[in-house]
Amino acid sequence: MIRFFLSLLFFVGVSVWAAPIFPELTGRVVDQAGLLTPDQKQSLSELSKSIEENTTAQVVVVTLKSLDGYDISDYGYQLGRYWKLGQKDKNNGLLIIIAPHDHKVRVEVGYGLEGEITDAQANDLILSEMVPRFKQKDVYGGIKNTMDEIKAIISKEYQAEPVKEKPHLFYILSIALIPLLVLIFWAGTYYFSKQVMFIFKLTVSLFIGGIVGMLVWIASHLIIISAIAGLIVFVITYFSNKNADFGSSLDAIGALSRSMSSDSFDIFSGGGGSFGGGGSSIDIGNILDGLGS
Amino acid sequence: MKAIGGILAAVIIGVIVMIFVGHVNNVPKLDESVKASWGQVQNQYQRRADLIPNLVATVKGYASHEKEVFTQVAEARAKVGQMTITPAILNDPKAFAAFEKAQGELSSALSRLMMVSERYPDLKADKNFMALQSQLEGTENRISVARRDYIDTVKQYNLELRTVPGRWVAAILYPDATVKETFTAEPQSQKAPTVSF
Repeated sequence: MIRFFLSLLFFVGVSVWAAPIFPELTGRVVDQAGLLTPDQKQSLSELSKSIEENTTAQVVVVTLKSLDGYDISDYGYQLGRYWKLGQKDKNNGLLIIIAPHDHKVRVEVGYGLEGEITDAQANDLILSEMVPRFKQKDVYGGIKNTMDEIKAIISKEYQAEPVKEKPHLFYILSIALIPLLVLIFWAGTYYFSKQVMFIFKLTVSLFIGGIVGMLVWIASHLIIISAIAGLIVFVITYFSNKNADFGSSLDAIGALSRSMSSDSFDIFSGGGGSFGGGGSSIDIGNILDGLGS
Repeated sequence: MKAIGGILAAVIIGVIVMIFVGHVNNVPKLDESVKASWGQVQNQYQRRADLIPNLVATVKGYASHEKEVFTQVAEARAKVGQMTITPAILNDPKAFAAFEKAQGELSSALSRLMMVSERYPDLKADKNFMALQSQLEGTENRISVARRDYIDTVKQYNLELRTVPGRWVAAILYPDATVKETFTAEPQSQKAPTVSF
């Protein structure tokens, strides 16, 4: 029995791969080391966004204060997996990792991009696009040129492919359902007695609130925001009686969908892709010393 | 009173059955994921073996007299190539150890080759060599990732076989399932050589 527990302990001990503590995926550019200005971050984010729109590939730039004592290649693939970059069925994520204090740079290539961006190509990108500009303290330029090159390489591969369709069937169906429900709601207010009305209103309001919540969740993947949105719509729908203009709740829905499509609502998250250690890293020496925080 | 006892017994039996049902398919499922991750390990080793002829040819162009290291690489590669790898190797500690040893020898022969290359500045500056070198590095890195993923899936499989209730389920439904072999701690020779400039 003791042996059994000992072997169990052994297994548990082996199982714990000491994983580094990863930064949060706050956007397409995660500048932990403070090497970029807000404008530069914005510009690189837009570039990354345009790559995703054209090719579905997710390219993320990350600057790190520290690698926590890990080898950058060891750190990189685990970070890529942690953030789940790339689309689930394509594994087309790519990470540009810059660790100025550890003197390391790496291009981490997701499983699905290994064919387009080979290790030799990744190595070449770092050596010919990044390093020369980094030497002139032009971090932004180095990253931007690298991303431009990456965009050119993978656009060739994906050109024929249509842009990813975001609104799927459920999305379209629920949008079609809302006017229908509003109509029923309206009709209901004229024909039902007060007691039945209460339950009727509650049900319909809950339903509309729920659908709006779902839609927001599909668009943003943030539970809290979708719950709040759903709740607001529920309250508005419920308290708008038959005399009031029903347009108010429709207005609210309209405003929500507008804000969802605007840039401020571009909440970036990984698409479920995975990494297998492809890519290349290089020791850049002290060329970035003195930059960043 | 009797009724309450009956209900309690039924609930307890129900819970136990539920726990078992949750584990019924775990052994074959985990077995499949072990096989998949083993396939990945083999792919990456194969990829490395495929890189070698080009790499050796390029190095030979600049350092033809370093015969000893070329022979070592060729021998180690031949040994790896001769091994017939079947999934049965995962349940055979001896065959598994032999596979590990052969791949380890190839790893160290390759790192010697790369060390030799360091002594030839012209070789180091050769575009073709640089490309091959980064490919080798990438492949070594992929090998270590694949090995780690393999260790992880085997760990899950073995835990399922060794702990209750998976252990009981396996004893009844999968009496043939045995604990699988896995890699030991990562040998130093597995580390990819780093380039500096």
